[in-house]
Amino acid sequence: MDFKDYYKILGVQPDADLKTIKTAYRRLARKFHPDLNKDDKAEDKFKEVAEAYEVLKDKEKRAEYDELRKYGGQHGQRFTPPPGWQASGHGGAHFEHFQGDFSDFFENLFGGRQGARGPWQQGGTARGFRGQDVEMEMPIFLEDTLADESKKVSFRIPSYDAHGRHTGDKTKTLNVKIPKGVTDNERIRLKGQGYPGLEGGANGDLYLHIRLVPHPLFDVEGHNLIITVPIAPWEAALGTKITVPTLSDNIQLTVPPNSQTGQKLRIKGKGLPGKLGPGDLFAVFKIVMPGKLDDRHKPVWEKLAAEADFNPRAEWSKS
Amino acid sequence: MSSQLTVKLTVSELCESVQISEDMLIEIVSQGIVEPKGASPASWQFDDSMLNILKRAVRLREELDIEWAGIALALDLLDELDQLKTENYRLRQRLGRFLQSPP
Repeated sequence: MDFKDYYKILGVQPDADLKTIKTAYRRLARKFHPDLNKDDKAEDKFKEVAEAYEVLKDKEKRAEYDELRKYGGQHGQRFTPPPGWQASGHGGAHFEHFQGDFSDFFENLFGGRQGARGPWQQGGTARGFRGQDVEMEMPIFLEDTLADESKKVSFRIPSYDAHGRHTGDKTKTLNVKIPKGVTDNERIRLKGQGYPGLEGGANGDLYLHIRLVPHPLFDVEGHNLIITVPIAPWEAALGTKITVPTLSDNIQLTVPPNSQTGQKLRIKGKGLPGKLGPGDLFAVFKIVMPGKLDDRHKPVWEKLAAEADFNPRAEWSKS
Repeated sequence: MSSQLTVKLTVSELCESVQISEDMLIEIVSQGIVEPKGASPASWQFDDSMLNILKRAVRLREELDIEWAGIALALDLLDELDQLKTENYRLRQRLGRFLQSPP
């Protein structure tokens, strides 16, 4: 186990008073809190800072830690507690809302969070302890929202013996029905599928946080879908019939003569399902030139250029 | 969110889930962090999304040591930031489809 220099982590002197420690913690917590800082390393950094504060803000824990520090710990180096030294078991009680885990170093020093309270929530003694809720991200393809879809989810939950002691973790696998028409960011609650309750307490719940996976062809806007439809300049000019994919099948679409880039056609009911009926699919035209000008076609373009009096930059000459 | 998925929670159920006192919940509601249905605390009803907001609010308050008014402001701004990021991502994606050259 590596020694952690909590003073160094908070950037304070070993003789710093509580006020200085609190100020240093607040400053660093705001800087690295994972809700405020999306950097990958921020969460680890925040956990480290929270752990340091957990010890240094508490008189007893700080005294115990200072004892060990005197024994010769250096930050980041391997550390073995002195012989005969015992974990105090001061951990636990204060961490009710802290979701992360503390380091091995902390667990060895203070007995860890399993000690006083364990991962249960106080639910009144008569009803025992309610298990913790579990929250999971659930990526869903757009196609999967068209009908009820069965998905397998697996997650780790702790197991306990009859006395409520933590005996290990096990993988729980469930077949979950993802209802037709789920939307991005929606949460699905599965009652009682979270961490087990204790002493007759209720199980926690499982929350699945739905995330729609970006689609290679379709963009999502509410319940509507948008597809970009590339068309040739002569198709735009003369109009044509083309085949356009939807989420479920292909449809025939009429491109009207004189179509423009950015022009939209609404295909009713071919969007995502919703509780007020399905959304629509919007086809947006994008006029595309052939990659290479064919010598045989050049005279046709030249003829068009000579005859057309269209100025696409008419807007510029107005000012 | 479709109606069959919406779970209604009472004040006591909510307090048990989030581990806060009723007084604290009343304080949170008075700051407008969540807006339950019902006129008085006895008839308040909360849905899943409020449970989630509450958990986040309580965690932020504990970890950042900010008072409730500050939490309310932070949550509003974080939500707005999230929405803008999502919108920005979508618009960039749509713009990309327009700007990309044909294969």
